[in-house]
Amino acid sequence: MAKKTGVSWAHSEIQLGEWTPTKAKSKNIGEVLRMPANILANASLSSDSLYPPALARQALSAFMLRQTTLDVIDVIRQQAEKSVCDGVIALDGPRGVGKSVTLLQTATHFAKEGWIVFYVSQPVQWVNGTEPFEPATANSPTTIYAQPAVAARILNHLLKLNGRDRLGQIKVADGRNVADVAQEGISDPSRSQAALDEILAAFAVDGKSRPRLLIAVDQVNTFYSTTAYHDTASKPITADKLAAVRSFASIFSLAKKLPHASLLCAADKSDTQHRAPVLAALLEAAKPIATKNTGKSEPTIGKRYHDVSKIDEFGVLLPKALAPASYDPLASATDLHPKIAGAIAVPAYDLYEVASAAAYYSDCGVFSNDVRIDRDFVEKELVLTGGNALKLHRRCLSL
Amino acid sequence: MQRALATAAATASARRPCLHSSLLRLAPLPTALLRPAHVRTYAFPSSSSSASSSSSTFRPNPAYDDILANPHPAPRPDSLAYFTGNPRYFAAVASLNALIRKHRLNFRDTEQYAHVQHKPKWMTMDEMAEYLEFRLVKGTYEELVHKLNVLFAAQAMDGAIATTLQTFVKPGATLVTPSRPTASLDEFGRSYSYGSRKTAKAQAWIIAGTGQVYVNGVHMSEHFAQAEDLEAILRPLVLAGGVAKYNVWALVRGGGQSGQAAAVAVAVARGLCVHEPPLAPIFKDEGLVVIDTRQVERKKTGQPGARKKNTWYVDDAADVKNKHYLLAALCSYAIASYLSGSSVKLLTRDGFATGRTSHHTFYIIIATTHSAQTEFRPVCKAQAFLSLQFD
Repeated sequence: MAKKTGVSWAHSEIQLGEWTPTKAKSKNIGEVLRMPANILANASLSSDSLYPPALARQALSAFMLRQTTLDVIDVIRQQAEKSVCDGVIALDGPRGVGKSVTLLQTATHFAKEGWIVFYVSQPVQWVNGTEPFEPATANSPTTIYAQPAVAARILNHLLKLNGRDRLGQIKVADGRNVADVAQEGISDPSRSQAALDEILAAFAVDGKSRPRLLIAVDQVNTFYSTTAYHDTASKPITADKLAAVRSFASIFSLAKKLPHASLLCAADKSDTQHRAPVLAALLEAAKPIATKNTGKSEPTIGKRYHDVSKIDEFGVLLPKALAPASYDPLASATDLHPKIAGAIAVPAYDLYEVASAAAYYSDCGVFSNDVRIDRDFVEKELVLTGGNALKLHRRCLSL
Repeated sequence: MQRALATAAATASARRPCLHSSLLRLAPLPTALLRPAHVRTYAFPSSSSSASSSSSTFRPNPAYDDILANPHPAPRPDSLAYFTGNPRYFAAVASLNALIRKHRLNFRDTEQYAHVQHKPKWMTMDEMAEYLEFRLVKGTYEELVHKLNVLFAAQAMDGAIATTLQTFVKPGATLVTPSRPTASLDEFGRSYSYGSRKTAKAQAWIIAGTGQVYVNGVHMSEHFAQAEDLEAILRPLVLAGGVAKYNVWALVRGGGQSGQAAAVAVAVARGLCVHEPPLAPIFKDEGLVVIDTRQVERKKTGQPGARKKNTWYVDDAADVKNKHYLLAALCSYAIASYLSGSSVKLLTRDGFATGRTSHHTFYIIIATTHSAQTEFRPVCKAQAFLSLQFD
């Protein structure tokens, strides 16, 4: 293995390579790499962290490079070459297969390459009722709610990830640079939402004079779900009524077309509180993007949702179990539905990836008993977990 | 039989030539034995001593036919076994021995039928006793079965063997056991197998693959949460060394998690035996292909569970009711005894009554004077002390 940098587990120090753009090569597939120090410096255990809180735990700050990550990087790069972004690239797959990790790796890769990256790791914090919200326009009947703290945090993360130098090159409509606008929004939360909208509008204007743009959003299902908030009539508020969500949803729906930009998203299948049947139906119907791993993707066992676009002449409304998207409150808000250009199925681990992960855990001293990493062990773990990375991780910790 | 009787008669006549020598010389077979069985014959001496009567065949007086007729005619025995204590058994053995001698079979060799895989289901010892009226012991029965197996192995020599052996086959069975169809792979290379545990029933289709195990349409890691259940399902594959070599599609219903897992495990083991028959004895030794037929035992009435019994306990509710009744009765008795002046025990004329239930003891003392109260209270271990003071 290549030169390693340290990551400490409970009882041992493991030397690992660092995830940099130079590592994004096929020869490094299967290697466990550690996130760069400057990225880890911005990771914290708090819920408003730029990165997932798990990244702050050193033992969990290492990830295996997979072919899927390289495929996603290629697809993003190809999409950014287009004059106008033609849709959202969605990462699909069952829970624990590695969608969020792939998204993180992709975002950090392009951030290192000099792209402008909007990385939203925990939008669930916007909709789970933990952030203050207020009507966007006072003294007027409106259904749009602003979350000043959320918008300020988004701007703060934008500055942390991209730096003032990179953002200073881009001008907003009134001539100020994006970095200054972001800083104003952070300083004055009451203006944060407006600053965010200004910045996004600036990105939509010109794409040739600025670096390539990547908007990567994890837990995108929260954008199309019901929130934990209620209006004055005690009716639940859907996510499209939140200004911060609308800012990104309008981009994902291509209401605002971004030149030389890529849109990447991943849904959180483990969140049962914020399910988005509409998004699930759209992902189900999305065209799969051919990658090198297409042949290894898990075979689908039948469609889970009926195709509601094809209704017979009687206009029969299917039951909720068959067509949950038809009963989604956001089913009728077609202007906010994301335009999914294609879906990349993140496959489960294959035999060699399981072996690599098992070897890493063995080096870290995770196994409590004297477990010998041989082919039989790897095959058994592959069959027991189905190649699911999360289940493999939990199972190795329990051995 | 006739030859034996003739020999016996000749012997008898040789000993007593004066009695029936004329009869023996004239008839090659004893005519008395040829008479109908229902007519009993006796040797009556002729009334006349004339030579003509002694030279002619003796015939009893027909007038005595009715008297001499045997009201209980016995069937003529057709076998020597009639004279044994186990006639039907010996007759059967004689027929079997005749066949063995006829075909010169080596009835001492047990290896000659060791190659026969599907022997008929012979009657058990009890069934032979019931249906064939054999009186057998274990050793005799085993010898009989041995002869039956010897003849069964050689039944191709003679069709009569099969006819004879059919008599000894278990009721409802046939001499030739229909061969059980062995499980095999279908046209797609899949095996089908079945397993169960408690109320869980599982079906499994196994095909060569890459280690995908799906239960009820989802991966087994999604269907079963417990690691023990997953390990149980994989155990046959691990033992067979084919963890990542077969794909399993299982359908299971009924029971709980562990029951379903065990049912799928049995089905997987049986399916693997179809793919790899040499695994069958190994799995059988490990007990992987045998269905555990144990079921949950029902609860019985009067008990808290199937086997759990009630412990001894005090019926507090009944005891309280009894306590109240007793208290009331004792009070009444004490008051009555006081009023009547007939004290039960005490030296004074005060009323006193005692009684107890299983847990409570009552002493009712009616003390009319202060001194009596003082006197009796310390010695009284009463849980209820009723004191009525009248002055």
